[in-house]
Amino acid sequence: MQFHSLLFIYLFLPVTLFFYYIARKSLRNIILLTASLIFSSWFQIYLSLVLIGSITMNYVAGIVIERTSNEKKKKLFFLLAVIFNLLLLCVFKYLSFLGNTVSELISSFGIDPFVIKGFAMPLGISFYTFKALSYLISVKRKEVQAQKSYIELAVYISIFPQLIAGPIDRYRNLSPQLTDHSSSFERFSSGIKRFILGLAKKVILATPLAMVADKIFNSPVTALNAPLAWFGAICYMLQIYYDFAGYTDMAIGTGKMFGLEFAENFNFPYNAVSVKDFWKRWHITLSTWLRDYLFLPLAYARSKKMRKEKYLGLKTDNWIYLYATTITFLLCGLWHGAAWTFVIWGLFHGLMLVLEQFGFGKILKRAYRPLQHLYLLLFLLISWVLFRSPSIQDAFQYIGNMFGTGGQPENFSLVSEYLNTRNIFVLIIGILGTTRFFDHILGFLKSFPEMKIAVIRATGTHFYHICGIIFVLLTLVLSTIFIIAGTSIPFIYFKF
Amino acid sequence: MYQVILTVLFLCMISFSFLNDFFGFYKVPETSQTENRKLASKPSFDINKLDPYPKSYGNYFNDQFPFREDLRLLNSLICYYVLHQSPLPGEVEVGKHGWFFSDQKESVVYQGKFDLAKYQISSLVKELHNRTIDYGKKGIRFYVAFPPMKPEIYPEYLPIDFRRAPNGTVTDKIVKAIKEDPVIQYIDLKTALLKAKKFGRLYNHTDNHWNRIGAFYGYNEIIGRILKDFPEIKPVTRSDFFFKTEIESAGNQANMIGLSKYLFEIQYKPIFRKSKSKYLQPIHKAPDWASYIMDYEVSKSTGDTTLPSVVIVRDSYASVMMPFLDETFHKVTYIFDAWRYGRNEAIIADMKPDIVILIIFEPHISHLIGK
Repeated sequence: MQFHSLLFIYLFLPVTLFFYYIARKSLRNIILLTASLIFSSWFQIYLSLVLIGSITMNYVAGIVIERTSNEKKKKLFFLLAVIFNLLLLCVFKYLSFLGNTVSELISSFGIDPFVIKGFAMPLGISFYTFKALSYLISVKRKEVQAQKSYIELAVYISIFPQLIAGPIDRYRNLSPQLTDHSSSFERFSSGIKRFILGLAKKVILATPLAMVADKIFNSPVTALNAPLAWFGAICYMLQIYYDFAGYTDMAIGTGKMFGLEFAENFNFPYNAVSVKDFWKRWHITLSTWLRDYLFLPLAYARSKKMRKEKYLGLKTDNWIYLYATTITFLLCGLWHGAAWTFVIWGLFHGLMLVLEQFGFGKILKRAYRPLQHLYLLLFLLISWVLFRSPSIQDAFQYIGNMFGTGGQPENFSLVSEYLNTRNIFVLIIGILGTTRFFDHILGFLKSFPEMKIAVIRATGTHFYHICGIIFVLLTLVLSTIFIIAGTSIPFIYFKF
Repeated sequence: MYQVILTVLFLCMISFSFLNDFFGFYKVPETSQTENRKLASKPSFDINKLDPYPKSYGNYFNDQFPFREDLRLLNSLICYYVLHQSPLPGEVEVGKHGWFFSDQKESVVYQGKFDLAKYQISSLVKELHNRTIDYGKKGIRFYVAFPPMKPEIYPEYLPIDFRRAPNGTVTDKIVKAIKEDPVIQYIDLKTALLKAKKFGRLYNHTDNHWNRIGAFYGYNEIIGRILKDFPEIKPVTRSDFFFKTEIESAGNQANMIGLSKYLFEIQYKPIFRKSKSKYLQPIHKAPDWASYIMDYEVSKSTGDTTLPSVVIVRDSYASVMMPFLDETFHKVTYIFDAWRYGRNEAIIADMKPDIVILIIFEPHISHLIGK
């Protein structure tokens, strides 16, 4: 059941809201857990058993880690629990990739290759495993107490708005809310707006962008030229943003309707001026997770072992940064998918971060600000091609097309063929939406009630709110029309 | 207050569908007019068959969504008139200047996404070869013609991403193999239509079929070839009829996107100055698998015994060619065998024709494999 399906919006959501709000506060977690299990089972029933297994193990592990006073044993239990979580991820997500890589390696030594058929990947396993790990680490670090209520921990790990694509909320943020269950019309209505905004991002913007990007990326080399290849990359860059940001908005909006405030995941990422800045704005809950639970521990552990001096002309701190960044982004790439394209994508980001740290960042800071944006956008366009392509060979071939190795004459006639009314509208709104343009418009409209001109002030409040309600509900109707027409496609982050 | 209003309106909107399921405020039709199919019914819940249930229930819920038909139509109107694109990509493509193209099997064949192995092409050619020999033993001449797909004749109106296979289509390979066989009497309609397109519009704008003008050029090519073997035939000429212009509702592609009532097609209907052909009673009962029972066997006769008789195994492409064929032979029997293109031996044995013509729409040629 996808968020942008009729079944979710017009059946699952209202029925769950109904039972949630008629139930006593003490029963609301049970309602949420039941809804979450139905939600996950809807894709395939046996896969939700993996989710239940993960919840149970992490529940037991949390309590055991907290109750063990012996530090060595505590560390051992913690390690075992972490290994269990990672093993779960490896078996369901990476088994086939690892097996086939080994097979290719041994076949180069003349040994017969073999094929490992992986399991079907449980829905959102990458997301809920990271949430579970964040819980265990917090318990181990004594930042939080181990959860004694199985239901509450189960809701934290499996809560349906976050189940398939995050945000990867920290336990310490969500846990108090799952006890409190406070709600208000203000929060509920802001949740409605956020949900519909996300739905529109997905259905009205990301879907047509996906259609263009898919057509261009699937075209044979002979049918491409450089402008068209760049155009395809731009469409994909916008698609992935609106797809994922749309999902996140829907998740946050749904959370608000249930009185829950989830962590934000995006902050105008394409407005960034460097790769470092980008990762502070893109998939924030993942980047902060990686920073807190992987990068910093790796850097800290290494810094304890290395003396403060220079190696090969580089300061120790820089070596540590290089080491921790490479590993973090290698794993970040792998987290996104079990394929070499994701590994290269992660390493490419890591490499640019290292270069920015080693002096390029300083040069960049001194550069004209539009040039800083241009640098980041060019970098992202190339990196998203790696992310989008089915193989490294395809990625390099496409990047080659962007630089003029395509089979068509280098002019804009092929691009113009794609510029129909819908695509022009989507591109204009899409590009403006990556900036703060609509924030400024909204700010202007919000200022109506405070204006000094009495007529505008008097009518402004009503005008602003009534127009807002009509706009929100019409957007829901329009999105529903596109869903019914069957032109929407699954979320990209759904497969991670 | 505004927050309460928004919340109440939103909840009313999202609850309407499942409340309708209980209370039936809005009656959902059993069949979709725009999609020409029966809508999904509620699946029964079986604890032993849980895995298919979510999908079946999802289909049911989507199909029973109130105002679904109206919202689909609204989408078609927005997509076509405002956004200038197909409301149903993957099934119907909107090309340039209002030309619609089927995005199903035709697209797959045209873009080279459907191919046949060498042995399959050989088997197909062998089948046609054997039919020619077998019919020949009974004194019957056998001819084969493939009406080409619309994209082959009007590629200039295709959307940008609808590209012909760079190394040729599967039809090119089949035709090449057929031409290498000295026995098969193949009639090349594509070349004839490409030559004729400068004289008028040969295909419908909103349908994947050719129009009557296209069919007439196809007829001329077929009869021109048969005339070499049967010189007694008097082909229909332009002086035997005139084309009456009529405005009809739009074709099958417009219907698929629900716009057949909003678009129209200018049709040219042949009106014969003197028509001789009359319907004959069909002899054979249509089998259960026949898709269009009334069309399974249709016979007409001009009563002129000096002319040869013919059996035509056909699909929908031959429909608009029939008025011309009707006037050309002593007796014509059309067989529409649900795209099987079989030998139909029983009918041929009873009809005792002089000629058998196999008219297969290009994307369906592969149906001959394994006959």
